[in-house]
Amino acid sequence: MVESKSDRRFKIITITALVIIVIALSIAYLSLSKKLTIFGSTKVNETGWNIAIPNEKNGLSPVTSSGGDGNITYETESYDGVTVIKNLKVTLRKPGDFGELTVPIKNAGDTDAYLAYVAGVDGKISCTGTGNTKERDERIICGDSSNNGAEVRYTITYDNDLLTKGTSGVDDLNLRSGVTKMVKIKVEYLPGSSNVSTHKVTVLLPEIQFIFQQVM
Amino acid sequence: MQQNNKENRSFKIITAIALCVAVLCLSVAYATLSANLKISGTATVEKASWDIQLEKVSEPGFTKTGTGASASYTISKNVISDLAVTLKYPGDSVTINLNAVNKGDIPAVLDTISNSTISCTSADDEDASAEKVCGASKDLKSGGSVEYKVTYAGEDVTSSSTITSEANKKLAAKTGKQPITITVKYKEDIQATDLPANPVTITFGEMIFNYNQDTTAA
Repeated sequence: MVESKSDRRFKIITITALVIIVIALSIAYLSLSKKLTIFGSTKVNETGWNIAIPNEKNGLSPVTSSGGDGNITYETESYDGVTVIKNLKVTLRKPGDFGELTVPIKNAGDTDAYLAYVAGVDGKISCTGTGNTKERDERIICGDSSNNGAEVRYTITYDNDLLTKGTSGVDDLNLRSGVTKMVKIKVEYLPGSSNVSTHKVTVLLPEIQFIFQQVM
Repeated sequence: MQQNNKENRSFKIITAIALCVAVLCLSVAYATLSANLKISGTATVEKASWDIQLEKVSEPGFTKTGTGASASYTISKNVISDLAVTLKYPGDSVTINLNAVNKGDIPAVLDTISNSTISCTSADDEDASAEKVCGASKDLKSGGSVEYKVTYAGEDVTSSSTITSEANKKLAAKTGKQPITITVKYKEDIQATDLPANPVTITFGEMIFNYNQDTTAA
């Protein structure tokens, strides 16, 4: 059978059309692939948020100091972004004695932070005396129910600003990237006190909590 | 055309998923950006005592010269009472030897001394004898045949209300000690006409050594 001219033309057109379609598909596919490769991956830098509160890994160490017969010891524990200075123990004997703990807080990350809130700075101390002068000694050391007249006092400072209520009184709450600020806790037997306890008195300090957050 | 629509839809779906994942990642990262520091603990106030006492250096607590001298007194912690000194003859003297001792836990420092007021009386209230012994003002401050002297840490504090050496003022906790002497002497170089006709009683008022806590002690 001899192919007719019309058949050949159809075939030619068909082949050409097929070739064009295949080429078009290939070009489209290639274009799509290129677009896909533009998407890379998003990664949060590991050092972006790093408030270096003392723990065994970051090498920051709290520093203690004392005066007179004062003595101070402590333990630390870290979990889930919370660092705890626990079992802080201060021993005092006479007026003027004190124990002080200085805790360095470093913003080791790329993200600026600020001190959002401090809880407990206005907390009361409570006393438990011993021996046959228990009540008298408790009154001497802790004062009345509002701690008025107490002979033992604790103070908290942040960046050398004395904290009173929440974070009021602090000049600069910011903890910018690369900056280190100091938290100080001082427990002292008020100098010049005219009364001393006859037996041992244990003073429970309120829990103090510093909360740092990202600057928005 | 239909083919292109499918491709475009696939592209849009992939794009949407990628954006959602990126947003989720950012959301998770933001929620953890806070850090907490908690501090808790106790303070212990040990018992402390404030205890400054007087002690005899050694028994009987005084030295004497001359045959007519004698003395007696009572010590109760930080008080001397019932001090009685007798001097019969010129040259007789009595020195009371004491130590101020810090037996407490708190270091002390001598703040002030309030000196005795002295008065002299004789039997039958005769002024002449009292004046011969104690001087015209009858207080041992203006002559007379009897001398009276008090020292603290070797410094004369008879009429001075303080001492000059800062180191001598201090009494360390538990161990601090400073000597106190009280000397009453019948002068030797007196004339017979200076002798009193009647016994003279010299009364010493309170002498108070006042201590405060030494806040400079280590």
